Amino acid sequence: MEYDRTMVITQPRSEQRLWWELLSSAEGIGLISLDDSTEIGPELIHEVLRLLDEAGVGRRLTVRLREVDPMQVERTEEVLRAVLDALRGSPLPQFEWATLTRVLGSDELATLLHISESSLHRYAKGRRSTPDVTAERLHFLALIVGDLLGAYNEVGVRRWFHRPRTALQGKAPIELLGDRWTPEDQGPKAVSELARSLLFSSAT
Amino acid sequence: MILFRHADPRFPFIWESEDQPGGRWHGDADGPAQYLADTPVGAWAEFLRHEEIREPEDLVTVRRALWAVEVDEVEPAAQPQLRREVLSGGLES
Repeated sequence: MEYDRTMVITQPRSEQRLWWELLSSAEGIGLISLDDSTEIGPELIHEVLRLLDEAGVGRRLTVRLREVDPMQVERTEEVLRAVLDALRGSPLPQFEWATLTRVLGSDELATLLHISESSLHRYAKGRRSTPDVTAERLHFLALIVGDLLGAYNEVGVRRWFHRPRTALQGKAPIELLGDRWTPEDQGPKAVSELARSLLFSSAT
Repeated sequence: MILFRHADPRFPFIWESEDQPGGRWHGDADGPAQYLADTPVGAWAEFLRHEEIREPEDLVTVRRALWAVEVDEVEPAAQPQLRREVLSGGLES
């Protein structure tokens, strides 16, 4: 058997889970693209912070995070949590339309958002501004897609929304995203948690 | 001894943090706990069960990393004592 990657185990980092969430979310939104050869390190993290600054997300927070001594673990965690909260609460349709249309396809994305494909194209091309309700749904889907991209290619991401799951009482994720869904509803929250369980799966 | 771990290809497989969601052998924030399979097939089986993948069409869409981890062979410090229904039960157990 040939092995093509090795890893050096460094000092424990208690903020590991938060960094993974941030990077996964940034990929789902379309700020960065991670692949098997991407080096997860300070350069990538600084690049993500720079992109968040440019997008106007948690600007003061990202500056504070850059200034925190990485050895101050509790302080790093506190600011990192605040950056993540800001990112979760900041729809970025100017990035998300392109990413989600590529991953899900415009027909599937329009179905999940409960809008017509013609409206989708108008919003995606900036001919009309994205209504708040649609922007919130788009952002919610982007965060889910960020988690799914750690397990599936684009076809797999689409199929994931249609596979019945025990954790959803035998329903498929798409069934819990009915025409009036909001990110705060129980069904969509369960779908989000299911996707996130992939990122933090402890199983082998 | 070489053991195996199915993981998100974007990130290192190993947990370094206490802040780890609960799993089969540890509770929430009770980490870091590392889960490894003794065969590559076992690691794949864990993933497929987690994702409830039963169709070949789903299998070909999977994008994951399979890590081979060299581990020192040592006797475990303790043996878990679990009831048979826990060892062989469904997701609820």
